[in-house]
Amino acid sequence: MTPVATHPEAVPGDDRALRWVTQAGLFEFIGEIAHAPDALQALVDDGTLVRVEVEPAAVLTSIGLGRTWRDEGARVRTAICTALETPLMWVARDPGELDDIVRMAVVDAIAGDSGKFIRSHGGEVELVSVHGGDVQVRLGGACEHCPAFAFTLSSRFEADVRARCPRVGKVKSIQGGACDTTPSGPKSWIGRVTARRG
Amino acid sequence: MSAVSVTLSSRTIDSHDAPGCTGWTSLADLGPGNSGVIVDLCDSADPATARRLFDLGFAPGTSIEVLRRAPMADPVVYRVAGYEIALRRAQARCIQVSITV
Amino acid sequence: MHPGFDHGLTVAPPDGGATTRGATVRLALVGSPNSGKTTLFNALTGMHAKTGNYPGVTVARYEGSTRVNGIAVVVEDLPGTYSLDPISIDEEIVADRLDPNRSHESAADVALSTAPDGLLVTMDATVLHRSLGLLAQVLQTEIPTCVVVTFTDELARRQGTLDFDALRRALGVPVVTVVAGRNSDLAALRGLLANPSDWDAPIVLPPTATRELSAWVGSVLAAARYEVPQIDERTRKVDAVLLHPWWGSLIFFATMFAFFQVIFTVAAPLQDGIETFFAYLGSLVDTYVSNPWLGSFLSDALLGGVGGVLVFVPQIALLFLMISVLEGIGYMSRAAFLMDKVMSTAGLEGRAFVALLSSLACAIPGIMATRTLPSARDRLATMIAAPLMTCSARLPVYILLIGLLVPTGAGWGPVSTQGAVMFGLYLAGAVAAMAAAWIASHVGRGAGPLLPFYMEMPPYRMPSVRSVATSVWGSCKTFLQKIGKIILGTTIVLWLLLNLPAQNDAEMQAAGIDTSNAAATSEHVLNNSYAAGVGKFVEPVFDPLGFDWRINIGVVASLAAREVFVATLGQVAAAQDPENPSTALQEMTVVDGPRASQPLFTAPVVAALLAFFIFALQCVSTIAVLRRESGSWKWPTIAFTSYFALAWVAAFAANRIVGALM
Repeated sequence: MTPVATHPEAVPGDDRALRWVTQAGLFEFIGEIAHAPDALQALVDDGTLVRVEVEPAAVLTSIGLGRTWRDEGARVRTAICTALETPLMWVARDPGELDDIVRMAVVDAIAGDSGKFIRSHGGEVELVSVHGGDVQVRLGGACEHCPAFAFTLSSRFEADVRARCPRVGKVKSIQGGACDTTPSGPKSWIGRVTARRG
Repeated sequence: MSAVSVTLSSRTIDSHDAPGCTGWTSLADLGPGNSGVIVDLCDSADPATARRLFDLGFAPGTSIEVLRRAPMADPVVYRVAGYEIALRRAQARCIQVSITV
Repeated sequence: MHPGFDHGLTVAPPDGGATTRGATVRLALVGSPNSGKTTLFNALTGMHAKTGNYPGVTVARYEGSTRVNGIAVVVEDLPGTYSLDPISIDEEIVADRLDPNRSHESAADVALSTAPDGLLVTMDATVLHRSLGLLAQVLQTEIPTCVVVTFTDELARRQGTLDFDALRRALGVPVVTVVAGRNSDLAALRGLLANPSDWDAPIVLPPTATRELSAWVGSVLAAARYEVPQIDERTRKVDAVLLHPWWGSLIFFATMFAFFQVIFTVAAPLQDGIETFFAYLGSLVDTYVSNPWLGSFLSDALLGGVGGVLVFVPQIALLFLMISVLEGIGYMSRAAFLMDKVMSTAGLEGRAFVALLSSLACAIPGIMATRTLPSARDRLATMIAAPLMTCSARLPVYILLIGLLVPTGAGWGPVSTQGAVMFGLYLAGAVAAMAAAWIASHVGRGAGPLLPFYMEMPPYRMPSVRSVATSVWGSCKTFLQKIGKIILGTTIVLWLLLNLPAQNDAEMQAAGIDTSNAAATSEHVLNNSYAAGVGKFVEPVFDPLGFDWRINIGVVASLAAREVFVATLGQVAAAQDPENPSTALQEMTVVDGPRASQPLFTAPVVAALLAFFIFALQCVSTIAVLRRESGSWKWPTIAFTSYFALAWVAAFAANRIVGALM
């Protein structure tokens, strides 16, 4: 079987943590796990890993006390790669709801590239509500008078959110100009992180 | 040899599981205009060549396209991993490919 | 941070890791061939690279220096490599240099016995997938690494994309982009050079196992939103013609033939200029130097020697220019691709063609170019064959001899007979070289296993003027320094041999020479010189070929360097008739023996001389380089003796055959 593509990235401000970036939408939940597939669970049990948290497109881990990433990194990678092949066997501590995942994806997107793009052009974007997988945001500032408003919303921002959470529903702005370009129906959980759409 | 080289020289190449593949063929038998997905390298027969081919981008799971042949049919230019490279028949024989139609 | 990697100080021993003002930072450039590494090296260090060799092997070492914020930074341009799992000597060098635990073999050279303080890894943005594989291996060495992404302009032109910030986060090391010629990019990179210990490092090293590595590469590329560039249309279209089995080969041979004609027409005015200049200097000597002996020494030996070397610089520079432009554009790999099958009949590979082609300028860079051949067996065979390729030193000899054989104006339309004969001589050399390579590769028992053949075909790119200029200048400089000294030294020694023992007027009158006749006196001096003694001594060897002792002097002297043959004959002719040396040559007659009073340079004799020069290994410098590159005297000795025997037989045959045809 081909191992799931993943690579580690540093977590700014916490050098005992490591974020294993992977495909978006592998998991139906976010947050700490109660139980992982054996290979990974073994590392939790023996104290190598002290935290394993699922994010929309990554797994956040922290190395245990007295261990170093230098010594354990390769083991952790192999374990995570193997464990990611069976995402259904990961058990959440608090299963939560789709809305929690979507909310985290939106917050990430606002902090990320498309949010920066909006802000760099004098606009603002803030989350209003998430309900049933549908998202409402408010685009303010320069965005209110911008002819490219709808395009920015659909093509950039929504794409960013969808890349982190393929199961998101509609993304609307409460100013009106709802942009319902989202396809309905079952969505593939295997998504690719892409920035360009159309 | 340096420690890194020692580690690298003991690598083995794992084959790629191609779902629904139509049958494997050697790259040497594929003519210009054909393309496929690399499935395996001749690890056991010629490990040094296999490792070098892997480092050149001929990794199992990568797609490959046959571009053109030299006069007298050898060597042949292939497109793999985003660039073009010529191999002789002897090396192309080392690569097993599943043809994409 | 990275404890244990001390900054080497230029004078004092390492001080334990602190960067102090005046300490030298040592960096190394790592990357695959064609990734823009050497262009970057030239841009960072200017044209002040020091060259030499890595100890114990014959691989060239390039090191340059620059200053950043008052700190001296030395940059080493390591040989291009595809992997730290080496299959050739060049690649072994790179893997060794990056070994942080290397033993201190030569404590004398601190620079070589420790790993670099930091590495600059060049990655071609259009081939990022493969480049990441090498980066993953380099990161295993745990030496501070900074990634330099090159050809980003080409990536954009071909509609590829790359998020550099995301790449930096995904890799965990600094990432800088550089486009050749953009100084602003360089400034950003230079700012980093002084403090490699401050560079970020990955918390967990990338995997080395093949399956995990593929997964890692895929994930990093996805995070960096890498979109593979479209196929380079320009390259695809050009290659459709240049690599076409029929059209491509045709264009290739036409290019080579045109190349020869260009050498004669373009270089000629420059050469005339140099000759005129030296003639002017000669006239100055005549005017201002009263002592005839000193005057002769200055104008014939010194000026003749120096002038004799410099006059061929235009042709050599042209040859090197052609080769480095073709290399820079990317055509050389196409040429090697087309020639690979032909080369394999001689047991070689396409790249050997480039080494043999370089030998057309001079066998020395050609022999050095064999380092690009991964197989030791191929390298040896190509090295042995290289001296048979018609090097530019043979040109003056051929020009002189062809001038004696064929009248200047002869020809059919635009093609001159002289040019055609010259091309024929070049062809003879090439065929002989291939035959020699075949013999060498089959006789020379396994100097290594049969290595796999592969050759990257980079997109066609405009080479940077600076790279081409650096390459041409460097090659010419090496050639001049090595050969110039030998030719000059040989010319001086020769002049001494030809003019000693000096005869004063009294002695000459006693011998019955009219001392007022300049021609008679110089002829007498020549006939009794040491050189004449040598020429007569080897007569039994060269008699059957139709040579007389004067030609023998030229042949023996040219064993040092071929151009010396022309200089020698020039001196012999000048001794005979100081006023008109060129007519003296034509009208030279045999002194004694069965052909006395007949012209010396008859067609059979000239043909024999040409045949001799095609094959004989007359170049002390080549022998020296062969010794260095092959590691022992065995192969140079074999080459020298075999080629001498071959040359003798060929000259004999030419003499008899042409004689029969007359």
